[in-house]
Amino acid sequence: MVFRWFFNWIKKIFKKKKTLRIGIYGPPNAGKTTLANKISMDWTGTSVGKVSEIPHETRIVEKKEKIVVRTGNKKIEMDLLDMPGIATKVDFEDFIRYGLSEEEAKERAKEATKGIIEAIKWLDNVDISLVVVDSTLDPYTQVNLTIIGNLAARNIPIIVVANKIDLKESNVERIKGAFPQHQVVAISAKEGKNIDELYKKIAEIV
Amino acid sequence: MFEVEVISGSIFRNKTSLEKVDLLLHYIKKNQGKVLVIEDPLSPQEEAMLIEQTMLGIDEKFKGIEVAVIREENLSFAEKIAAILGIRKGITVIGPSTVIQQIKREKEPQRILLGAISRTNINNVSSVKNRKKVINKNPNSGEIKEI
Repeated sequence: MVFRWFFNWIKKIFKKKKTLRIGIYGPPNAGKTTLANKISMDWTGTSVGKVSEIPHETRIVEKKEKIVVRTGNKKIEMDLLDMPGIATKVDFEDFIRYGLSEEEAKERAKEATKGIIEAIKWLDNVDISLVVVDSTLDPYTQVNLTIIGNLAARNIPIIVVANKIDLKESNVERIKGAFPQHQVVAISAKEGKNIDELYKKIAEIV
Repeated sequence: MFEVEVISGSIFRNKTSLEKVDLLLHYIKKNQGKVLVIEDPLSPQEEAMLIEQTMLGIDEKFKGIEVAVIREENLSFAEKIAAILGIRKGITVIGPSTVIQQIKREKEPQRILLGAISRTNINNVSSVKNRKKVINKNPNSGEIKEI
């Protein structure tokens, strides 16, 4: 741990990166791909991935390279990494309930497990992380704590993105209360609400 | 009704992180139906490793796990040094997802609420009757209570 901190410190001094790798983490169905699409559409005019109500729609790390974001007088060049949702269980029968055939459901479950492993492996390779949580749900879950705990242990800057504020059940204060040591930005990726505030927070970290 | 087994943290003594995770998963798979409470908190890195290894082991029978870790927060300097040396206070609660439907955590005081799937309906999640069990650990005394 001490060696990793020292290595990161030395790396920061001698190597100023031009392009930042921004990892979008979170549990399934928190709105990670919707956010990635919003950022990408804003600055490149193209989307990153497909959005679906069926969990684990994103099963490989989707990468959008060289996105240039301008906020205030800052210009941020980033590679955006939309991670598969992290979970502790994957049950193919859950997908059947969404209308998939048994064969499709089993294949999706197999791909989802691989995606989760890939997302965890990427924890070592991001410069900034956006941890997307559904603001209508209890954020104090083990998956969220594990993601944030691992990013914090690697000294990777974290912005907690409280998504889905367009829904009336949204409770941003509950998220701020769960993660008081981290910056929380409340947004609606779907409606594009408060995304500028997110860009500003990213710019403050850079 | 599900069984809860409380195990001393000494089972992890002299084990690497991967060995700890493998041991937990071996135990969970061998004792489907049991919830384990281990008197030792996994570190965040071990939690991530646990998820990775769980994903590698998922098949039609083993659907995954539910896990919750309670560890002391806001450690003093001495406690941080102790944690680096592997001396950590807290617990790990883990069980197969076919038994635990949901783990709900509360922050102050740290509590874990288990929502379990009835054994007779283990394969029919949509029609289960939930039982709830609260495991409450006092970080100062180390006492574990079931409510």
